[in-house]
Order: sequence, then structure tokens, then C-alpha cells
Amino acid sequence: MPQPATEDLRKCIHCGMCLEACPTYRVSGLETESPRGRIHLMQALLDGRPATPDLTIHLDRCLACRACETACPSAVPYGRLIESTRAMLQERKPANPWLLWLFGHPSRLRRAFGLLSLYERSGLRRLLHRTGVASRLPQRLRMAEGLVPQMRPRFSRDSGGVVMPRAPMRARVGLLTGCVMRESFGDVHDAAAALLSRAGVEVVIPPRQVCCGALHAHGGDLQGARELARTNVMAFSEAAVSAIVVDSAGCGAHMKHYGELLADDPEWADRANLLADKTKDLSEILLPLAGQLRFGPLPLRVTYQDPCHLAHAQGIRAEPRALLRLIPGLELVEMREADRCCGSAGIYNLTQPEFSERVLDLKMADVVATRPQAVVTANPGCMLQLRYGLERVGLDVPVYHLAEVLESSALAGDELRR
Amino acid sequence: MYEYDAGFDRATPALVAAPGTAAETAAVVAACARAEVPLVARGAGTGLAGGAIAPGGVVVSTARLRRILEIDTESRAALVEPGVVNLALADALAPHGLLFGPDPASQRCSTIGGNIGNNAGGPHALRYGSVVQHVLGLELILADGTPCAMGGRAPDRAGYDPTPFVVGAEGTVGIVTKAWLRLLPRPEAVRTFLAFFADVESGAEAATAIIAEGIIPAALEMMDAPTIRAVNAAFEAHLPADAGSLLLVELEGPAEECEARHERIVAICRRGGATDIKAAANEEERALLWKARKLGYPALARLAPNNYLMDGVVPRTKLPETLRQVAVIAERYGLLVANMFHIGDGNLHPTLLFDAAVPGTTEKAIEASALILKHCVEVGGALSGEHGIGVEKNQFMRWVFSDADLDTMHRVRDAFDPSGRMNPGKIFPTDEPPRELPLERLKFRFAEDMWV
Amino acid sequence: MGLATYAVNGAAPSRHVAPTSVDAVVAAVREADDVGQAVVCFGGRTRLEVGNTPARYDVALDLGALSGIVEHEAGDLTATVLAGTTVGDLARTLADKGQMWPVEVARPRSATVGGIIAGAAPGPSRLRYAHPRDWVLGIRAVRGDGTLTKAGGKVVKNVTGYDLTRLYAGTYGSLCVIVEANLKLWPLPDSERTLLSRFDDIAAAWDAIEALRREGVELDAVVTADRAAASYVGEIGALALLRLRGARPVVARLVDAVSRGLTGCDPDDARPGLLEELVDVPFRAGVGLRLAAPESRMREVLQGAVGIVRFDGAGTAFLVREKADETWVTRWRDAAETREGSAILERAPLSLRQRVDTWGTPILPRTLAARIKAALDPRGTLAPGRMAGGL
Repeated sequence: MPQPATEDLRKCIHCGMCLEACPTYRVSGLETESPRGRIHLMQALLDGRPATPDLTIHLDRCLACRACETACPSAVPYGRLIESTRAMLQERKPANPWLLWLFGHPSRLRRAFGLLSLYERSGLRRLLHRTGVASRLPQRLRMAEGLVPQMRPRFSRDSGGVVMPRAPMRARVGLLTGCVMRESFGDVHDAAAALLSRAGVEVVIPPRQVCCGALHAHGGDLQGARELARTNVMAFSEAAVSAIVVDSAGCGAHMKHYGELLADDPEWADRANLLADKTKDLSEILLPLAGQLRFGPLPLRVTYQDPCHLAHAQGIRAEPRALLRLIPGLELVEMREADRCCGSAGIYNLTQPEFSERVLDLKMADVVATRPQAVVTANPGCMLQLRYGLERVGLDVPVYHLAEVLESSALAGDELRR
Repeated sequence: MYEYDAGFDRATPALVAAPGTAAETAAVVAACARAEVPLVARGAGTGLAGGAIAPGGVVVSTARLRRILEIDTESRAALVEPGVVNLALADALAPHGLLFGPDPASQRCSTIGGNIGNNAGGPHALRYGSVVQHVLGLELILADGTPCAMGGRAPDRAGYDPTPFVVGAEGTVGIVTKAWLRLLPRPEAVRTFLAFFADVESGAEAATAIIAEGIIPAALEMMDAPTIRAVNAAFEAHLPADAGSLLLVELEGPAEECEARHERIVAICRRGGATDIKAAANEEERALLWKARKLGYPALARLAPNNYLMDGVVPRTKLPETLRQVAVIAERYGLLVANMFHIGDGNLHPTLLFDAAVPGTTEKAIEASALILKHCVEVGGALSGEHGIGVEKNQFMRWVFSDADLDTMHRVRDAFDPSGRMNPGKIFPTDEPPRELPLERLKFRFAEDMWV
Repeated sequence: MGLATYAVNGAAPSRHVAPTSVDAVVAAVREADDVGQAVVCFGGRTRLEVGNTPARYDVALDLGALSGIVEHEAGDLTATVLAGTTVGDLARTLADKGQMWPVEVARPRSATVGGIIAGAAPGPSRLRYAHPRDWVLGIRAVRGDGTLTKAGGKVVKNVTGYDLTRLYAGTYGSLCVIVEANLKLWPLPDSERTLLSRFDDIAAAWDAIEALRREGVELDAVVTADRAAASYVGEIGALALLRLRGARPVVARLVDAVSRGLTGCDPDDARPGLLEELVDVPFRAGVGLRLAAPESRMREVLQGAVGIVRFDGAGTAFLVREKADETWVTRWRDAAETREGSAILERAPLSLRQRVDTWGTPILPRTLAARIKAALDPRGTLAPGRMAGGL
């Protein structure tokens, strides 16, 4: 039975250094909504305290943004703790089965998003309502509406393929298409593939890949997550690539843990570890190759939101900023605490709408203070959440994925060359 | 959930209230008065002396009162609510070229209210003094729920000013809902450097010599070998792994003065056998050094499953002999000890590292800690420099104070809270071994046994 | 000495004692308390007049002879002194070791350490070193019932038990008799310069000093005086006195900065002793009203005032004049108290004292203040009635 490891829990010396890093503590001021408090609860559960709703709600409210891990001097593996705790609770009481089902396979999601393009918002509302996501609270409904992805093009290489390098070849990599990204942020994938190709990278899109399984793992469905991981390990191993490029921070963070996820599976453990080692965020791959790219001017005042699963889970902060600074004319204005979660956190904005909005409002105050012309980030969930937040505060500026901004600038560079 | 702070003892409160305004706080306190129940104010719960734990009482969290109400640059004063986080205040003051002197290691999370309750210190207390020197006035909710103002941004107003008495009273006389804080101009220049020594003793001798020569740096900190190991592991600090100890020195003030003092301190350290001296090359390096220092204590958790961060203080001239004594005691009890502390003001933080899963080890650590504190008192020092007494050291208070001294303190406490419901069981020694807290019972026994 | 010399604001005692030991102080207080006699403490008499006339007064407790430096631990920058030690004597001893107790007050030859702490004495050092209470690490004191107690300790950082040491500061011998204090010391600066600038108008001096402070010029001490106040020290026109202290090159640079900031008013070295004389002005005048206000509101408070000695940056100013009536006191008290300040009539002829409360409105609620007083002086033995609210 999955459960949090005692040795992980014991690492916490309850010093409280995590409190201010935790967005839910910041908006509530309550110990119960802090990492230290949640670790205390995990211990209580392990000690046999019943998992009553008034106890588990505090664990449900965790964004799993892992900002506490960055803050923790004692190296408490909080992400691992919350996942295993959720898995433990999941065994007792499955949570959000519908959502996990929805995100479980590309075709289901495609059908759902396909419906979205047919229906207007009211249609979505009916859909979500009927399926039970948007059930109890009017706020939940409002939130879900705000979060509907704008219909954007699907990824042009949806069914797999190869993008050839446009410069002398330097590497061959695979690209994770994922679930939400391929359905709703296909143009981001296109931009990412184009950038890699410009930099002399051959991009392989294995056709048999699936959703990375991060949402399942975060939600406590470790079985489902392992299933998806195995499928992906297989798909990318067949592709014989030197790296797997991920342009969605949440997926990247999760795939870097495939080794741990499948550690108890002797048949897959080694291959999973290898794949985890090969997994790289787009910015990690691009920065060393940036010399190959010719960026044209993009006069834009932007602020950059660190996706939690990039900054806290993967420790990637400098690379996206360094890339943005290569763009002539682009002004990067740092917001206060750019690495504080925006409240998106996978499906958190759907499962915990109230806290999600409070976390978002805190974030928006910092975004607005930078007076940006655009907000840049590197994760689909964050993009949706930030867009929703901007709408809430009435600030009419776009949210871009880092790849989009870089590719626009590269296109401007092409113009110059001509 | 609210049964712990960063210290050892735990106890379950009956109720937790998290008021959002000063008026709500007063209402909560008044309700407690009507119900005749004890109450304990709590900030971020980063205290190490159990000051914020409330066996069976009501915890009043001030964490939600986090507004900075006014920054008066001309008077160099700020009016804040108690839940404002120390570092958040620092960030808000920086654009004005001002700072709040006290910078406890917990400053990322600890609140001004908690800092006031414990009269917190921090590395820069060497130059700036503890929190008490930086609180000009308070609004305090008394035990009956009435708000009471004292002091203010103007000095020496008419009548008694118990403001500095309330600072460090560990919430035993009321709950602070507003504070006027003294602000300081940011120094013109800052210089930060490290001096490495072969052992703890030569580092301590050098630190003592620096002070004795009449140089008071802004901060003067020591780390010993285990600490260096831990911070290297935690923060990639890249400190020389073979150093026996290091002094972290920070100078602040006019550029020329920093320069001259830097040279003098380097000379003292070299005379004292420093193996190497290394300056922080830029602001980033400086920030890393301070991060390593301030988060060094939790980083020690990487060395052993449990640790006990102690707080004692001795006259600065007694530092070398006290550190020797600490090592002797730790060895006698078979405990690993790590030292990372404010050597410039004689404020020791020996951290005993152990594994509580081994039966009897916690008791050993507690007994060793009692002996160390006893030594501090015997050489003219005190039980706590900045963490407070709480339920951690209340049983040892008779080592320092006579019955008459304690009676005097108690009388003043009673003047504020005749009902005795504000954070009871803290600071003062008990006549009987306390029931709820097993470790305190142990200390009660040691206090009696070691009584001289 | 005759008993008449121990009169306090018109009240005279029936006897006086001048103990030379702590034990003798304990005995004297206990004896008085036992028979219900009231005690007023004497040190260097620089803060003696401050407060209301005691409601009862039987014993003059002269602590002038309880003096001496018990210990100076130069390596620790700490010292232990008996309460009657004058700051002048202390300063000389400490200076031999390159150290100082950074508390500067009027009349250092008379002012005692105990009296300064008990009387929250103001002075130019407040700008940089804040309150005298911040330079006291521990105190031994005798309660109203004759019990000798200690608070604090000898170490520079200490949170062991309540900080009664600082509670006793500014209580004018009404809670306890301070007999011994452990002091925190500081290194003496290498060098100093004191510059004098003359202005037509004190407001112009304030403008200039505010500008220097905004620029971050680190001033060690500042005193400004208007024309009327300056006349007490034989100077003509409004004055600004700025003292700069630190390492030699730092002082040189600060002098440059001040000179640039004060162009047109020709700052020059002040004559030796002028700063001390200005600090002494409230003692030289017939009436001295101590104003406290937030620094940001002090100019509003002082609007229209004449006879000003101001410790700029420290929220303190004195209004001095030869004669005054209660209307005058009330006017300036209103000005200060409506701006989070106070106006304490520190120096005044008896006739004025009889018509006006010398303290004004206390900040602390009287009920709490009375309970604190009763806690430490249950029978009202120590200077009864001297403090605000008749305590």
C-alpha cells in the first residue's frame, strides 16, 4: 500500500522556514494550510488518525507547487510526501475519477475539446456540469468558464513525424506532445519544434506517446501514472533520441521522476531512469544552442512567471530568463516573487476554486505592478490560469509561452535577413 | 496542528483563533476572559522555546494581521501589525533606504509579533541590538480584552512606558496588535568576508580579540566543522571542507571605515592563526553566505535525524573556555555537537545532534544541554540570548534569579494580567513538575539536581 | 547639609540619609516603608525637579555617596557601576581604554548613572545611540518594600526573564531605587569635529539639516537653537550645531558634505564647549518645557514657538523662557499632544507648578500604571505623587 515514508517525514524539524514560501499559507495565514502543518497531518494519518474530510481537505488544498522544497533547508522531499499521501488516501477514497479518466488518454481529451469547439461557453458549462466537475459551487463554475482554453490550432504533427533541422545537425531529440498541450497549445509545440530545427536539432515526434501521467500521480492515481509512464518509456526508447524535450513544465518535472515511479518494477526501472535522465525542458536544450539562432527585435515589456514545476521541481530559473534577454528590444521586468504559484497547479483550479482564486489574486497584484505588455511563462496550466487572472483584474495583455515569444523573435530575425 | 513550534515540546490547544483585525483580536481575548480560559499568542510558530504552545488553552494566531500601516521616513519609524513577516518589512523598507535592525535567522517566516514576544536578535544584533531597541510603542490587548497604548513614535512621553518590558515578555502580559518600530538608514558600505581557522578555539580567540580591540562589526558569526559540512551540502556554499572553524564577518558603515576595520580584523585573524581569508566578491556571494548562515540550523537536520538547537550567552571574554566546556560535555554524553552562532556578542547556539529513535538519547541530550546552560550561568552569562525561556528553560530560572527577583517579575506580570491567563506556565519555574510536558518534567529534575 | 537643600519642588523632608553601601540603601528604604514614610531619591539633582511635587516626603535618600566603578571589563565592553557614579567620572575611566558609555546628558559632572536611567535624561547622543535604557544590561534595585532585586545581567544579549531594567527607566524613583547598573559600552570614535552654522531663522537651519539627513549624511549629534535660546549661551542669531564622529577620513568627508549642504551659512568649527552649553540651556532658563513629537510632526508642533532648543532627528525639543503661565503650557501641550507627542514641564517656578500638571496626559491608562506602581511599591513609599496621574 502506498504511504508517505517515515524517514521522509522525520526530516522535517518543523522550523517553519517553508511557511512564507507556501501560497496557501500566504493567503490564509493558517498553519493547517502550510507545508509544515500538512507534514504533521501526514504523520497523524500514518499514526492511524482517521482520514476525515475536515483533515484531508487541508491536504487537498496543497497546490503541490513544491515551493516549500526550495525553501526547505532540511531537504524534506515534500513533493514525494504529498504524492504518496494522496496515493494512500486514493486507495481509501478515489478522488476526481472523471478528471483522471478525461486526462488519461489523448482521444478522450480530444473528444472533450472537440465538443468545446462546437459548443459555446454554455455548452462547456453543460458538459462540465453534467460530468460532475462543475457541480457544487457557483464559483467553481465561474472559474471553469474562465479557464476554458481559447481554441488554438492543434499541433501540426499531431500524429507523429519528424521535423528536420534547418541548420547543420547538432542533435536528435524527441518531443513530448502530451495531452492538454497537443489539443490546445499545438502552436506552442510548433514554435518549439521550429526553434529546435533552427538550432540544428532534428525533432522526432513518436506517434505512440501518451499523456505523461503527472496529473494522475498528483491526484494519487499511481497505478494509472505508472501505466502511462511505461507507454512513454516504450515510445521514446523506440525513437532512439539523445534527449526528450518537454515544453510543459509539469510534464517535464514528472518525467524526470519516471525512475522513482517505476523503481519497484524490475522490468522497467532502468529504462525509466534512462528516460528520466534524458528529459530536458525546452529552455535547457535551447540555451546552449542559442548561438545558432538569430533573434529579431521584439519591442515588448514582459514579466516572466516561473512555473512551479520548472523553478521548484526542476530548478530551472535562469535559462528562460537568459533566453528572453537575448531578444533585442524585449524588456524583462521581474515581478515580486515570480516563483510563487499562480494557483493553477494542474487541476487545482477546478478542484479547489476558492483557494485557487485567492492564490491567483495575490499573484495578479504582483503581475500588475510590473505594468507588462505581455506575460510569459512555460506551462499550459499557468497560461490558462494567468489569462483568467488577467481577465479578472481587467488587464488586457496576452499570455505567451516562452517558445512563442522566442519563435516570434526568430521570425523577426528571418525578416531582417531577407 | 497548532500543537508545536520549532522547539521540542508539543501540546494540543483547545481552540485556535485566527483573527483578521485588531478588533477581532480584542474580541477573542475578551471572550477568553469571559470563559476564563488561558490563551497564547502565536505568530509563525518559529520559536524554539515552546513559547507558543498552549496545553489546553486557546491559541490566538496573529499571522493574518499582516499589514504595514505606515512608513514615516522622516521620523524613521513604521507602524505595523504583528503578523507582518520580518523579511517582508525589510523588502518594503528597502526602497526608502531604510532597514529594520533585527534580522533573526527565521526572518523569512517569523513575524514582527513573534520577534517582539521573544525580543529576537539575529546576527546584526551585534551592531543594532535586539528587537527591544527597535520598538518605540505598542498597542497591546490586555487579558480582559481592552486595548492599551504605550510609547509611540515620539520619545519619553508622559508617564510610565512599559513598551520595552512587553518586548520579550513572551506574550505573558498581553497580545500586541500594533507596533511602532524604529528604522535605521541603510549603511553606506557593506563588507563581508570569511576567516578560516584550523579549529574552533583559535577562531574563538580571534573573535574575542576583535571585540577586545574595540572593533564592533555589524555581525561576527562562527561556524564549526560539522556546520560547514552541513551548509556545503545544503546550499552548495563551497566552503573549505577541511576548515576547523570559520568566522563570518560583516562590516557596515562609511566606506573608509569599513576598509580600515577590514584591514585591522584581517591582521588580528592572521595573528590568531587564520589559515585563509576570503571576501565575498559580490552581492550574490554575500547573499549565499548569509543564506547558508541563516538557514544553517535546519540544514543540520541533514547530519542527524534529531537536533537540539540551544541558546546560551556568556561574556565575550569567556567564549574560548565555554566552547571547550561545550565540547567536553557533548563528548561525555556521546553527542555530536555543531556550533554556529553569534560569537561577537557571546551568544552561543550549540546544536546537539542525535537520533531520538535510540532509547534514552533525548534524555541524554536534555541533560547535556542543562549542563551547558549551567556553565553559561556560572561564568556570568545567561540562559538565553534571543530564543526566550518559554517552557524550555523556565525550570532553570532559579540558577539566575533569586526568589525575590522572580517575585518582582511576577508582581509586574500580575499588574498586567491579574487573572494569570496570558500564556501561563512560561518563563517562571513551576513548584511542581508539570504534567503535560514530559521534557519539562525531566528538566524540573535536572534543575533541582544541579541547584547550587 | 541642611534639610532645606533636600527640598523638592517646595516639599522638604524630615530627615536625610546618605548610604555608602547597597545594604544601607536596603535598610533605609525598609525602615521608611515599615513606618510609612515616603522616600525621594537624590543623585546629581539634574532630573530632580522633573515631575509633580511629591504628595508625601519624609526621607531624602542621597545616593551621591553610593558611587564607584565596581568593574570595567574592557574586553567585554561592559562595566558595572554604583548608581551614584557621575557620567563625568565614568567617561574619564572608560576613555583610558578607548571606550565610552554613549549616553550624553546635561551637566555630566553632576549627573549620575542612576539618575540618568531613572530620569530618561535627554541629550545629543539620542540621535545615534537612542535611549539611555538601551545601554543598560542589568540593574540592581530596591523595591518600595525594601527588597533588593536584580533584573537583566552582564551580557550584551539577554532574554532571560522580564526586561525590568528598561521598565525602570524613566520612572523617576517611583518604582524602585536603582543602586547598581551593568552598562553596555561602545568604542570611542577616532575623531570628531563640531561645526557651527548661523542662520537668520531657525526654520532655515531645520531645512538644511533635513536635507543633509535625506542625503544620508551621517550626523553624530545635532542641536539647533533659535535666536532667543541662543542668547542664553551668548550667541547671536539662530544656530545649528552639527557634530561628526568616526574614523578620520570619514569625518573629513562628512565635513565636506556638510559644508556643501550648508553653503551660504559658512559652517565653521564651533568653540569648544558650545554644544554642552546649548544642552544646558533648559537649566539656565526660568522655565523649560520638554516637547516630544514624531520627528515628522515636530515642525508643526513648534509652529510659532520662541525660545527653542531642538535635538533634531531625535523627536525632542525644549521651549525655554524666563516666565510663563498655565495658558502658555496648555497651548504647547495641546500642540504636542494632538500630534502624538507630549509636553512635560521640566523646569518651572513653584508658582507655575502649583497651577498646572507638569506631565500632561499620560499615554498608559492610569489603571494599569497604578497597578504597576502598586506591584513594586505597594505602600507608596517611593516618591508618591511625583509621576503622571498622581502616582
